[in-house]
Amino acid sequence: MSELFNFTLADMLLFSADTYVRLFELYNTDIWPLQAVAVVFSGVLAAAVWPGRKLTPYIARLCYLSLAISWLWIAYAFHLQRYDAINLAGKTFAVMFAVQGLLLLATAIANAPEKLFANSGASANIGRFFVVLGIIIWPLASVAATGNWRSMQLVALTPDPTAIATLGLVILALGRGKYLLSVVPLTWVAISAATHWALFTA
Amino acid sequence: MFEKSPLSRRRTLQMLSSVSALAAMSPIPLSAATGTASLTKTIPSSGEAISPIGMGTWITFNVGNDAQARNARADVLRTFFANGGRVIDSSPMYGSSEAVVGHGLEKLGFPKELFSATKVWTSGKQDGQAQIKDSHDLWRIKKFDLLQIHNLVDWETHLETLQAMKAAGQVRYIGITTSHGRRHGEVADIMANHDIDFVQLTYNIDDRAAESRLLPLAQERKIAVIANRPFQRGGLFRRVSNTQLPDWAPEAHCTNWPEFFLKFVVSHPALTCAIPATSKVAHMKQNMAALNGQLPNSEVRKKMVKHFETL
Repeated sequence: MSELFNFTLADMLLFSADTYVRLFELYNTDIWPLQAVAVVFSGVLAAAVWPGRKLTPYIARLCYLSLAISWLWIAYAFHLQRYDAINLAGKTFAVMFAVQGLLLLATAIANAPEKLFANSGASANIGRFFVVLGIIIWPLASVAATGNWRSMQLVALTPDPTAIATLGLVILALGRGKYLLSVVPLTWVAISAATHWALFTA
Repeated sequence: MFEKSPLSRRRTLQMLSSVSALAAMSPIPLSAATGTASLTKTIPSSGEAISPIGMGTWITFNVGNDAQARNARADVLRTFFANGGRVIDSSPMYGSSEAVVGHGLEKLGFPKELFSATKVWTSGKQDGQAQIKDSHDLWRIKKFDLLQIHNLVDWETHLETLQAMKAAGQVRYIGITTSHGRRHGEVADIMANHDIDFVQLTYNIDDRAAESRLLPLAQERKIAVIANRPFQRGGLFRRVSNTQLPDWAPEAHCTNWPEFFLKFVVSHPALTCAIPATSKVAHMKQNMAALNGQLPNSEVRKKMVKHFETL
């Protein structure tokens, strides 16, 4: 639809900041107590990327498997069941997240596990920073920004911190497949940044 | 022996709150008589009188499945009708807005004053027809008063469909829409060469691009005009924040800024209706106050523009 290109970013935004925040509040209420699982997963991820830690192949695969399930869950429970009600692109986002989930699943099953956390040096520290950003800083920032802990965005349950933490893990991995794994998270981060810009500044 | 229980203040308050709750649940706005809607405009193609302050639903009514927010929007609708409002405008492009309007209308018992306006926003004849059917279902009504082609998307195809629907009595009026100055040339061509009842465009005290061509053309072709973004997406309020109305505001028959901006819009002789959007009952009351009193004349309108441009 070529007419779409006549619209600015702010024109494409169809909901208010209040509605967006309330989306997370209602979602968290609906899925309680799954947040406990997310907190445990955050702890596992933090331990997995701790500097100097040597992971067993089993744990390395488990991290990717859990992340794959997270992306598939968000595709269905967040995008398809909830975000789609206020965002016309909700179904497209659901497909994107499902594809990423399947890619992570394939990586967890087929990839050599010793490569998944093998990167080192400065780039590994950048990867660790993204993981920490996703599992700790983003959830806390989401509460600080709204003043409402019920709207907290947790890794594995909501899109932004999950995409950010996934980018961190991808940076920590070795092999050419990592570039493919970074396409959807990077795309989502760009979409989310544009959404936040339009919601809170435009 | 029964003990006589005096009516305590607490009990009285409980009873009063129960009455209020019943009133809030009533399908018919109990306060309909409180609105002293005096201003009306006329739809040129039919001569039908219409309230010049309607309401839009872009962003404000897209609250998804949030039951609390849906009920809050129903309260906004109740206030709208209770104060003389008629025209509600929506679009399939506005997410869940049509469904939320439908929820509110059902809760209010489908007020007979409703003038329902929505749009078709897709490509292809079959998809357009399917979308119009969906809109009926979402609004929970059998017939729209006005169907418009949103931002001219595939307008040749949809105009044919809408004209056929009008001829068959399935819709009362048809029209086209555009927003903030886009494709005015194409809009003018359609207005000049096709049979439409309404055109919707952006018009406000800060965006008066339509004055040069589209509004005179609408008068010439007897096409009703709906003004979207009468507050320039809130930009007008940001511009006048911490600023008092001018001393001569009574000349414009205005007591607050919303009234100032809305009366400017609907006082243009070509304008039929403005459709401000809000999610708050208090703001809706302020908007609907613009239906009271008189409209500024052309001299005062010039003064309003001159003053606004100094801000």
